[in-house]
Amino acid sequence: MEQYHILGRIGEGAHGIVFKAKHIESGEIVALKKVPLRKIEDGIPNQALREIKALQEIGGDCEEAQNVVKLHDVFPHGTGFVLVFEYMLSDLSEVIRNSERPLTEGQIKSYMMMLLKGVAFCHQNNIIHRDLKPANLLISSTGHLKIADFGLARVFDNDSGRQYSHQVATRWYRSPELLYGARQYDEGVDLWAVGCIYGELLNNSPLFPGENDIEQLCCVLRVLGTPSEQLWPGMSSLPDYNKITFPENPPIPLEEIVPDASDDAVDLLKRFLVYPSKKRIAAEEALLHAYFFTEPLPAHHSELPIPQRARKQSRHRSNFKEYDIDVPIEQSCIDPKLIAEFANF
Amino acid sequence: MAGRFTRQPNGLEIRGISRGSLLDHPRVEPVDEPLLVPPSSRGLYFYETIHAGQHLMDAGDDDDSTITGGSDEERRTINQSLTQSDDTIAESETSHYWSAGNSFTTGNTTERSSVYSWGDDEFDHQASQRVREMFQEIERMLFEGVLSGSISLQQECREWMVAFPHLRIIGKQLLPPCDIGQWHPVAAQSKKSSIQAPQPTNDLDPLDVDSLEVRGSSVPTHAVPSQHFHPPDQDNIYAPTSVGSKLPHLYEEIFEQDGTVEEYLAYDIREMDEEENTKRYYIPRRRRLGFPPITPNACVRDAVLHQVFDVVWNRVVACLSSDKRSKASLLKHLVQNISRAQDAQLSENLLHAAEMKDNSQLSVPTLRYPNDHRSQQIGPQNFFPENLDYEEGIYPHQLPGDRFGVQPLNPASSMMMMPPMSRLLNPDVVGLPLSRGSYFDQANSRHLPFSQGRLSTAPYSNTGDINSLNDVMKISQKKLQARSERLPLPNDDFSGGPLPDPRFSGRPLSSHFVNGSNIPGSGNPLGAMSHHLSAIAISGTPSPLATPNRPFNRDMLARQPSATARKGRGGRLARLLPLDRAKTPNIEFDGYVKATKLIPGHLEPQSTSFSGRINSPPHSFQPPPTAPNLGTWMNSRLPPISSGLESLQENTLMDFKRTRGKTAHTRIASALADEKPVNRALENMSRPNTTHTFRADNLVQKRSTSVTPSNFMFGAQGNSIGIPTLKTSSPAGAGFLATSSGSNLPYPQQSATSPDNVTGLVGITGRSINLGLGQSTSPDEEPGPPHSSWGLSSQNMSAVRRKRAVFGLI
Repeated sequence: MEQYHILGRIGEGAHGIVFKAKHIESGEIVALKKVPLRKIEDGIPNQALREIKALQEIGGDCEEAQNVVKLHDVFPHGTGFVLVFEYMLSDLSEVIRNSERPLTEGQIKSYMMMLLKGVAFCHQNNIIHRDLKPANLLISSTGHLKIADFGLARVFDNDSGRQYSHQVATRWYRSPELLYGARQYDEGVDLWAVGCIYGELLNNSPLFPGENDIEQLCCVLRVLGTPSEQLWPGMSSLPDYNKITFPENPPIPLEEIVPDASDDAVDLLKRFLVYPSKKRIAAEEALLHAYFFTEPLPAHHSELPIPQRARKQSRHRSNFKEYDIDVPIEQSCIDPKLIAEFANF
Repeated sequence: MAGRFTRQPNGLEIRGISRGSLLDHPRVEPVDEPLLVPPSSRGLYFYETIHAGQHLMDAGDDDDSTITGGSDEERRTINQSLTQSDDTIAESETSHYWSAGNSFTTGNTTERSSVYSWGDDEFDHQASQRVREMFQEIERMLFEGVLSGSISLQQECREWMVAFPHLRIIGKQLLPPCDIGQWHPVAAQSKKSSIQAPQPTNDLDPLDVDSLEVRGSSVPTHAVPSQHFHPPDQDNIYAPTSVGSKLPHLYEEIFEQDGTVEEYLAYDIREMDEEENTKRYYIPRRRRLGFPPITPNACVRDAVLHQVFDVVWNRVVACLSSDKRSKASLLKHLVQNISRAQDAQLSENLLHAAEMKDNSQLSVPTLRYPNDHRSQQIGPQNFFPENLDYEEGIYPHQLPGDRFGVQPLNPASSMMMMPPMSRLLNPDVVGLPLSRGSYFDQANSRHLPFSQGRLSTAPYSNTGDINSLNDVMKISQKKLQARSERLPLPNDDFSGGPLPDPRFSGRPLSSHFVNGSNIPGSGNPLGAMSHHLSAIAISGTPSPLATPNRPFNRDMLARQPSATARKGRGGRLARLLPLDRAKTPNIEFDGYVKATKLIPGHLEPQSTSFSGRINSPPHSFQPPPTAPNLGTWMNSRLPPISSGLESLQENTLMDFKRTRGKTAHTRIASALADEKPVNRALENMSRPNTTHTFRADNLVQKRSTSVTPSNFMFGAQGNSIGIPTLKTSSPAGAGFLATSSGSNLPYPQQSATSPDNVTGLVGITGRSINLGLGQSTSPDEEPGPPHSSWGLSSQNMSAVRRKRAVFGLI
């Protein structure tokens, strides 16, 4: 901790308090995430281990990892440990919430491209984030988007048939199979979340804002239509499939859901929001979608909005001196009397 | 110019580190010492600041200066912890972030004040220890396969182990990574360092460079085969030739080309403003502080402005500080100076002429060269060869071109050649219009030495001074009348063709010829010398043209007003004197008187005396300069203007009264027009030969129409400063100053052929003159600032003009 000078508190997450700090040696601004261990006897929680391991394994300076938040350091501290992340100015939820005017299509493309790059990188490394949501997509001061909060991330193995917890992901971004209590899933859960985020970017509002898990499922089914075994093979085998039934409901064309989106955008969105997990377009594949290669092209990151954290904004007032026009002119001029002696010709 | 902007390095400030303690202090202390928690975190922060910049915090142990409280023990603890944390960082660069190795000190934070409880007490300390152990366990599981802990943990670890290869290098990083992404594994230790077994790091040499490595593949360089090389002048340089097509990549493929492309390293703001959106480059002035000019023009401009300011400021300070003038307004003072300078110039001209006379008299005894002695006795006819020898003897180093000036020594040829040559080659002599600036330049360069010499007798050894006397000589004009009187008709033949103007009729005999002969060597300051000699030779020649020795003598005499006065031409005298008195001090008159005595009787002696004078060391302050002056003197005699003295006088007076040359030009023309009828009448010629010194000026005018008395004055002003310029070669302007001055002075005419065209140097000197003049003219004042060098190339003209504006303001 001596290497860091605490500058302030950024926020409080599910896993601990996050501080803004400056690494004294390098002067780098970092985010310190202090993770307490509630019961030290339980050892290091898997969650923490996963986050650390995931970021250690996939984080780095390589270009592919540039859309994943960087973990600088981990060190024990008190009855817990501290994760040192690169400091990120904001997150995508704030961008969506604060942007006075809806994001331009170029900006949306840019965000989506960065998001997909990060997701693709995670998936390439067999890591499922499992908690993708705008709040976990941090925005750096340069406008870059980075995936953060790998607390739910897991290494997945397609072949092992291993079971995972379905209590993952934030509800609005939880995929249908998770809502049905699936214990076996794959990176499709991330892709569904990407689709939800994408729709949120397009609409400037959550696509499936369910109040609870059931309502969440309702929202999804209302838009995508009631799934059928034909449409969604294996659906009936999902744990919670039989627990709830929904009336037949034709799907609503996504063009109506995201009325302002271009055809390419709707098309891409459709590729994400499909019931079968395996049919969702992979992140790498999505990056090649025509959506990213048609006008308007993805915006440069410098063209992206960089929301300031409201609290700090006032402090960055311009500190250069302005000339005050209210000051009497006598105070800013030389007294004529002083030079009168030399001024008479 | 760049020297003005010395940038202060932004040094890192290291506070609290005592001298000498950095090197010999062990870098890391044994870790098994008791760790104390400093009660106050401020000291810690202080150390952290140090730590941030340098890895030298361990030197703080010896520091006795600024640690805020705490015992030595405490301090050491802090140091330790910092050191440890440093290592922690290093380790964190490896894959084991939570390795307990050295990072236990993280528990020893002092941040009790933190609301968020970053600090920890004994319990926390133990807890963190426990956490560290847990992390170690996990690492062991991951890297060594030692399973422990809960099943879920083991499972999780197994997953990660399967998913990713786990390799680690255990040890303590001795060299902190200087760059993210750069990893220096230094002597990995077999065992992980821990509290119990701290790794001695005394052997660490932070300056060790051995571990540096250069990665990459070397690319062998091959010389381009000669057959592929095409000289740049060939057209096909850009296109691979059939033979050289082996290296097509070396050629730039150009599909289309229009015009030439020039690359600039720096751009001037002006250009940007013109071409680019000004808004875009607008920077508030207050934010522009501290940026030295980068672009060449900006540099020049800046240098010029600063030079101007120096000069001006000196003047201002002088004005303000001097007791007498303190109450006078600055403007007044400057005006005074200017007018004084003008007067001074005139007087100086006269004085100079007087000096010349004196020198000519005195020079004989001081002759160094045997030739001179001989020459004295040699008759005019024999004199020429001697003269030639003499010249060579004097100036063995003379360039071949300079020797051309000697050629005219053959009287006949020289006489024959003179008129055309002078017109073609020597603009000064011929009616070619001289630019005012160039003339000023000449005048300045010539004048200054004299004024200076009188005041301070400072040696002006610069070549630029050589010509300084020429103008002076031009000023003196008496001989014209003498000429006109006695000019033989044959002269008309020479002058008649090119110059219909009767005034030129007398020229053949005049020094113009001499000058013409010198023309080739005009570039060389020494050329003037040759001139002078040749002129003498001419005067001595028995040739029919030169036959009238008397005219020569008379011309010479005529120059010195005093002489004329003595000759008893009362009417003339009466007229002349008032002018002279008005403009020249009495002293000069005396000199003239002496001169008159010499001249009349002995032409040859005089010539010899001249030559001797040239060589005479006592006058070393104008060694080369004298020669040109003599030449000019001859020149001045030459212009056989038969114009009425009255008109001349009027002109001179009028011109002198004028401050600036612009009006003078028109004036000149009118004056000439007036003169013409007079000349034709030849009545003036019959008159007594006396002239006044000012007449010379008129002569000059006529020779070079553009040169006007006003110009003279201007030049005179310029003079005073012009030479200092030469003398003091400041690093900034010196470079071209020296070159330009050197070139300009010898080639005054060439530098400025058109009146409007003012070369940079000329203009500048004229400029500077104004300021410096007062200093040079008034003995009581301090000499002008030596550093006032106006080295300016032609590029700088714009800047110079701006300067003018500045002066005008002042």
